[in-house]
Amino acid sequence: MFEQREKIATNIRKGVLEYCVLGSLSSGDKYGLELAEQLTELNLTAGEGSLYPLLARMKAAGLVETQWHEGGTGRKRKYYSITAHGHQMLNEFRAVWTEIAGQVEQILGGQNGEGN
Amino acid sequence: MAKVIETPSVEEYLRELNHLLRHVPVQLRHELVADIAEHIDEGREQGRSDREIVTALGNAESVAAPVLEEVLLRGAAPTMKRNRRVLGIVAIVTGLFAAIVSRSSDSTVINMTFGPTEMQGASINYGYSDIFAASQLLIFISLGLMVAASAVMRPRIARSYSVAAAVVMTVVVIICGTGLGMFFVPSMVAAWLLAGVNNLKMGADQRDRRSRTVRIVGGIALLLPSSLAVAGILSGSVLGVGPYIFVALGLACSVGYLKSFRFAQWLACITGGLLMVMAIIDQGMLMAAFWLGGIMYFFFGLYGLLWFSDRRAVSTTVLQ
Repeated sequence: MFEQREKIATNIRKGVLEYCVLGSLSSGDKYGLELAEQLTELNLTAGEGSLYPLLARMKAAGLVETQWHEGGTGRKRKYYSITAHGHQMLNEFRAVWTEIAGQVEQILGGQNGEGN
Repeated sequence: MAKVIETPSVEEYLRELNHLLRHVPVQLRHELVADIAEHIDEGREQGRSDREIVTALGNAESVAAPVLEEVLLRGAAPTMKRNRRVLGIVAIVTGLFAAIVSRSSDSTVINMTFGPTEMQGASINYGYSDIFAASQLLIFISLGLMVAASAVMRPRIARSYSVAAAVVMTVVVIICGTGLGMFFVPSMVAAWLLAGVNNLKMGADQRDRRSRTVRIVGGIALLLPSSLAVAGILSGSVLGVGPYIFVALGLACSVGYLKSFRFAQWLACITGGLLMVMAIIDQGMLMAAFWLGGIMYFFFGLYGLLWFSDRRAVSTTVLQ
């Protein structure tokens, strides 16, 4: 049972992770580990490492950009920030997510569910 | 035997990741490995143990997997597929052409000592036994097929294979020398173009840069034969309208090519093809010059048709 649940969750997360990254960055710039910790804590990504290929792809697509800033420890860190295009995509996703969540909810018949 | 799962050390982890990403464009590969290395440094500073860090990263395969998938997808993209197919066909046609021409070219065959010299005759076999003639033709054709094969191979195998095939063709051209080797030059160029198309490590930026270089070099190179024709006209050593037509053609090809006009690429391709055919039919004094000039026109034209348009296709997919 648990395995199946995990499989369903993994499939859904795969589709939304990119937008979760955008959502997280929309509240402020973050460096890699910071972002990884947040997403792992929320259980949105299984491995922290797989975040970096995603970030590289998002950067190539112009959704995020990177800057080197000095962090608290005096070491230069690579900070990721959301671009205007990223904001636009995030808004699109919000609209789609609300719509789909409503539709899924409707067909599943609320929290209790009608058919088992 | 029980399988022992051990957490790799940080160094092992990075080395493994770097190795897994060996088919990925160099810049992306370095960036990813550097990102992960920084992640590890950052984690260490925050007091995490190496073991914790590596475990949290997830295994190196799962980190590399999406990148590799993307690179393979790009290799399977419609333009890439089309380019491989076109080059495969070009390789077969040029290979076949080379095989037939070299089989029927009496003097060069004799020069290569591929048969008894006293058995010269009017027939295409020059009196050799049919089996000898057929096997010779087969050997020549097999070179073309060898080059073309990489067009239908799986991308990762195709890369090393096509480079090897191109090297073999180059050796064939060098060994056969100026006589017979000349006819295998188109096959050789096609082989190197296939080696290029199968190179998935080449990123879009790098391809753009290369296209720009080829465009400039090609534009200048396409002008050279017509400058020779101009010299001929001025010195009075060539007569008739032919040279004038060729000068105009060369000029149109060259300027159009530099401006990346589609028609100029087609024009160069067709002019090249015609020059090559002319060289074979005419077998005149300047046969080698026409033949090699034709090869140049044809392949610069082909390169433009395959790659210059690809740039536009890539930029539109990014915009979508």
